[in-house]
Amino acid sequence: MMVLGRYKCLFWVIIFAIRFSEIQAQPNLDTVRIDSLHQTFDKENTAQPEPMFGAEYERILDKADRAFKIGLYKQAGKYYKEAAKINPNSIYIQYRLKEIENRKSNLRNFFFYFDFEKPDILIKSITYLVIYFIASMLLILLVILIHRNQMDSVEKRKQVLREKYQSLLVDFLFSTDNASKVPSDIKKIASSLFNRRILIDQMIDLSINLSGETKDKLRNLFFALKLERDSIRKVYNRKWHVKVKGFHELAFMDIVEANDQIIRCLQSKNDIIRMEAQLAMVRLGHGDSFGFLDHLSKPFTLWEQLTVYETIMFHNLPIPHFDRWLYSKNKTVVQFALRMIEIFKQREAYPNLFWMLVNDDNEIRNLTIRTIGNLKIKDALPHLKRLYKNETYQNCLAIVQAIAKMPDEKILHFLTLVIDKEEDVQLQIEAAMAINNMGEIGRTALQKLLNSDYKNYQIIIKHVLDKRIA
Amino acid sequence: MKILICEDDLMTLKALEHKLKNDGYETITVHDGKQAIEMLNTQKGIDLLLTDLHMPLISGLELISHVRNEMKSHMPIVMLTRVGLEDTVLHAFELGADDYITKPFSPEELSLRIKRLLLKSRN
Amino acid sequence: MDFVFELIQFLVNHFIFILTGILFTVYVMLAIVSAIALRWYIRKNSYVDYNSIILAPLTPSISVIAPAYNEEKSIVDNIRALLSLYYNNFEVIVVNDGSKDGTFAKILEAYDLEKVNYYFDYRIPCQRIRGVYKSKNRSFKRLTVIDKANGGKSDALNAGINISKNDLICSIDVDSIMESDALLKLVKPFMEQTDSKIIGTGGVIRIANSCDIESGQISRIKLPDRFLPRVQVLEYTRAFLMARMAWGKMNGLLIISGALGMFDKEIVIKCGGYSIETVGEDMELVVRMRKYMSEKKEKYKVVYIPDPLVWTEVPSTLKILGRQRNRWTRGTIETLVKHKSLLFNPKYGVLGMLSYPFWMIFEWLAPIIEFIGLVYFGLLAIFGQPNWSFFFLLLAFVYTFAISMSTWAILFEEMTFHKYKQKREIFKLVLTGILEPIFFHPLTVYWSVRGNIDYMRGVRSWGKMDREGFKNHSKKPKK
Repeated sequence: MMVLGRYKCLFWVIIFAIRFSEIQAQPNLDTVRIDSLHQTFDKENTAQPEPMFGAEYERILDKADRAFKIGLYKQAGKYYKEAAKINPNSIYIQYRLKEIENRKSNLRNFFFYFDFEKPDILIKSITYLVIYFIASMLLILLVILIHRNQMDSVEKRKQVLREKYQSLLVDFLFSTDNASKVPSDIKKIASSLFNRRILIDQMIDLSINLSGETKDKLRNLFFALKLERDSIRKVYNRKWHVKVKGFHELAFMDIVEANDQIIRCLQSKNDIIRMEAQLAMVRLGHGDSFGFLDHLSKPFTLWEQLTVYETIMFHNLPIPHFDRWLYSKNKTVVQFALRMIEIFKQREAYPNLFWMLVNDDNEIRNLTIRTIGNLKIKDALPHLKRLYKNETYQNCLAIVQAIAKMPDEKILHFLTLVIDKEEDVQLQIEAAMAINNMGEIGRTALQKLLNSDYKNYQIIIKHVLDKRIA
Repeated sequence: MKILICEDDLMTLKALEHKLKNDGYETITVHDGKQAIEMLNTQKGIDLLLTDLHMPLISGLELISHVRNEMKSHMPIVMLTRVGLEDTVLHAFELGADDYITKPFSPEELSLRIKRLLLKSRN
Repeated sequence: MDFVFELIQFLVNHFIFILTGILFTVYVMLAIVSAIALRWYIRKNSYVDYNSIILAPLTPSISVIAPAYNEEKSIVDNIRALLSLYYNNFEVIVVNDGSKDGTFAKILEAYDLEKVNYYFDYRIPCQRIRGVYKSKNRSFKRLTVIDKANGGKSDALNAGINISKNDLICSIDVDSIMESDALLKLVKPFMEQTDSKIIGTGGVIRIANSCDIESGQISRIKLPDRFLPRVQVLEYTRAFLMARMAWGKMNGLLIISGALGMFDKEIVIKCGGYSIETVGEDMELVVRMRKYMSEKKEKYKVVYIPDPLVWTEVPSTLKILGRQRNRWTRGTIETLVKHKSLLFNPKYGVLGMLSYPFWMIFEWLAPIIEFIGLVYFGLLAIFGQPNWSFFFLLLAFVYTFAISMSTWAILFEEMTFHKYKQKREIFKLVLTGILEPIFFHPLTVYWSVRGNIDYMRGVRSWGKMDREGFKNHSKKPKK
């Protein structure tokens, strides 16, 4: 928005400048000087005193002078000729007319050939812009073609190398001979920067998909070729996206160097770098690697949460007790803790979960209810029942869905009440599904409802009983 | 013994092919489900199917369903999948897969599982 | 005082020139902002491993809704392509909007469908549902098909929203071809939201005419052979890469294309779903959602993703293209009129102060003004003494500006996603750019004016949009 504002002002300034040059304004100092100029001119060049030719003459001369000044030569010529009719002896006018003739024959002034009846400056700027547009267009075309050529050849080369390296790597990794020495051809590749980059990319690709002995072999090869230096160099690069790539490479190869740089990046002003540095710390698993969650004031986005989760899984890191962060002031950290508790089935956290059920924030309560449901914590059933009547619609839905995951006959009555009292179809359907999960007792209850003509029961039960609906 | 390997990631495909060839199996490699079905229709004597679950065009699930339902074949099927896709894995088992292995995977472990499955199917 | 009077006189005389000047300046500024935003986006995604989003437990669930009307040529392949999108927890809802041909019969057969006892909750009003269908084949578990009475695209989308149980909805034209990682790319902004709630994301529409298509997927990208679709390639590139990117960055995006858009379902429902009263339902929904969030005083963003995510067939004949542009114009007017309270209203932030005025002036008024300008000059030429030199100079100015912008667009495309790989194609594009202002642009002005006239006359329909159907190539199996 700021960008627009600045340029808009500039544009208006230009408009004003053009306008000023065209304005039929009050005589200003310049024109006064010209007036006096032509009078003194004539005075100097003639013996007789200047006769007065009237206001009309002055006015025409005025117009002519102004037109001449801004470059409207044809118009100026016209006015001068008119004035000459009134004062045929004016040397000033003849002088001016001669000048106009000169300029006419001056081939360089092409603007004179075409009478644009517009300020000189406007015509000039438009013409220059046209030339600029054409020139820039040709230049861009050149750039595009060169770029395309370059990209094509580089891409071809890369493709050839990629396939070659893939074969080499796979051959090496699965070779049956126990030679632990590095084949010489792979060594040769690692000597050129361009080749090395492609090799590293292929090795990283492989390392994502492989584990076990083969991965160790890969890793040893990586170190034997001293490729970790490239990754570390990336981490020290000034461009942020290169830095992040470096972090990732270090992670895939389980390299623990470059700690000081990572620690420095923890303080970076760039959000992305800071998050990546934090992730790198998590991966390194030094001491309390999740400690950053304690101090995190910025929102911990879902994407970042997922990356942390993936890091834990990929590197088989020790899993902390996530209920530690349930009382964080940062809402997103609490949400993260809840999700992790659910995924890692940390049922021992349930006393704390009960506190979360009465948290002020709707979304946190929602997530807690879902977690309780997915962990099948039956102890929570009476609490959920109690909370139902004061909850938001979304959370009521979540409660019923959670109950559906841990069906218990004690709650049957509550569920039938839901079907009966609630207007919203979704709630009714979820409640019926929960009853359906209760085994024999549930099915009998549903049959009873099915046979009744009351309200919309029949359609609901039919929907619920249809196993084909996911 | 012939194994059909179906995987859209070239690198992984190469690694799998190499490993299984080293183990002494004959391998046929394809990039997607459609090619896999073509191979299944034209080639005889495929003993085991190793397939990725997520592929363009025809998904791994459809492939498994095709083998079990349309072809009515009992060949052992091993799935490759990324970690975390629990419900897809369960789904695949429902459709008739025999085993699964998650990425990142250990080629040695995969080799052992395939050996076991082939032994079982022969008996 | 005299100065002010003369200034006003000057302005009136040169109104068209000033408007054009402002227009050009704005285009240039948008292009600059777009370039910066593009560079940032590409860098940001250079190290992302989208595969990691596949991990189930944390990702938002998506319902892909595809309305279908008379699509029997390719519907089976298109649905298959949708089912194999690369994402984990998503479902595909195909809505048969009362097709008169064999569309529904084909789906029924190909996917082994049977009717289920679905309790359809009309949360958003829509036309009567004839039935909800699921597949007997478990590998098509993700698919749900709704058969309903005809009601139009908006109505079909609303029906789909009604049965969606997921967090996000992704509306798509069923005959468009989605890239397999489109869902991943579209969902990422939702997962990166911090203070501002992301209410919708949209991507770039690419032109699929003349591309090789196999079983519902693009196998080879080619520049369209015919002039009309090729010109549209330039148009779309300029619009998407050089303008919308900037609007996205400034959070002023007014439209997410109907061919592919992902929205927060709850907010769509709270706003009342798609409007069936307008032919520009995609833009109208975005404007309404933005208005809703502004009125609730919640911080929000509409995000734009420059990645080519969806390929669609554009009209290749003048008649159908004309109908499409007519419809777009009417849709724009309908949305602008319906939400006229936004104009220069600071309560709506960027939406009211920048986006709406811009859209009104440059999307709606500009063609009209251009038309008036041409008529005025025509009259002047016949009855008066126009200054031909100045006219031709201005013409040269406008023309060279237009073709230089087109060339910039080609450069943008080259530097970012370079989908057109052959040099020959680049030359073709440049040539098209040179011809466009002469042969194509006047047509767009005409169609826009016609659209205005039709709107005044009260025309509200979609008009018949025939589709050629994609060319289907079958590949021989690799030996």
